[in-house]
Amino acid sequence: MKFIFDKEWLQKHADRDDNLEIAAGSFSLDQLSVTEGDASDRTAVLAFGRLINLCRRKRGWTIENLASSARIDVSEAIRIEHDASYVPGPRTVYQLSTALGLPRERMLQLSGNMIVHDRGLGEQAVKFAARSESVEKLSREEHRALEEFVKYLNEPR
Amino acid sequence: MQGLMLVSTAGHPCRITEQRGKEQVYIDFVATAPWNSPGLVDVPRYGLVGRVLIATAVQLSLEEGFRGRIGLHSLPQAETFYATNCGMTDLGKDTKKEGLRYFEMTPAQAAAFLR
Repeated sequence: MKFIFDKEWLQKHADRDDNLEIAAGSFSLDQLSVTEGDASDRTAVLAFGRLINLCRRKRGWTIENLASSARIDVSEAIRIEHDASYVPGPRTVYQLSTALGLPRERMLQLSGNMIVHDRGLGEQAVKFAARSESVEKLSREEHRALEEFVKYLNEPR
Repeated sequence: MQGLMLVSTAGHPCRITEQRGKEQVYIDFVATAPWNSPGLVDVPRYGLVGRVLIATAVQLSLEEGFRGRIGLHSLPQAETFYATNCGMTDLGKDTKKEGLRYFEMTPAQAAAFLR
């Protein structure tokens, strides 16, 4: 194969390409889906959802705010926070990490997208999941949302 | 070795409306060596590895008679490179590929990329 581009062409684009990643293809994800029986990884996924929930609330964001900032679907944001069996795709994890200023590689591990080689992370995830469960009473907004939803559920069809 | 690319010349027909179903070079995998990755080291040893590899895929597409058509699923951190620097069309998230965004290059975009 004789290349149709030359040194001049490369030099012309050198500045523009500086510091840009080029990785493509799902082979590069080192992905491992979390299996049903893997308790430690399932806890990590639970901790991931809890972490997203707390970081969002710390910023005073609604789930819609979070989805908009991270450029993900609102329905997916809801699943992440409330469905411990849901493993979001790498793009979603990357977008959430960027939006919330969290370390990407650790977030990929927590979310179940990468094998957790780090035993310490697994232990910390379990500790976090156990401690972060709220024991406070419902806030006024949570109370109102609950009331409205229960009212809707009770409405005759 | 400063980078690696794996391509297919069959089995991945184009998706953009004006070239839907036509043959293209599909990039199954492309990455720079870790020491050339700006995400892993502060000062990459060699730059332009990605541009050389993508240009090679375009050239292969031309040689195969695909007129420069290429396609790939970008990792999130590389979306800017493919959309802006390569001028490819972003066809959105592909749920069958772990939610990665799918990008495709038309013959016109290939010609612009090689200018």
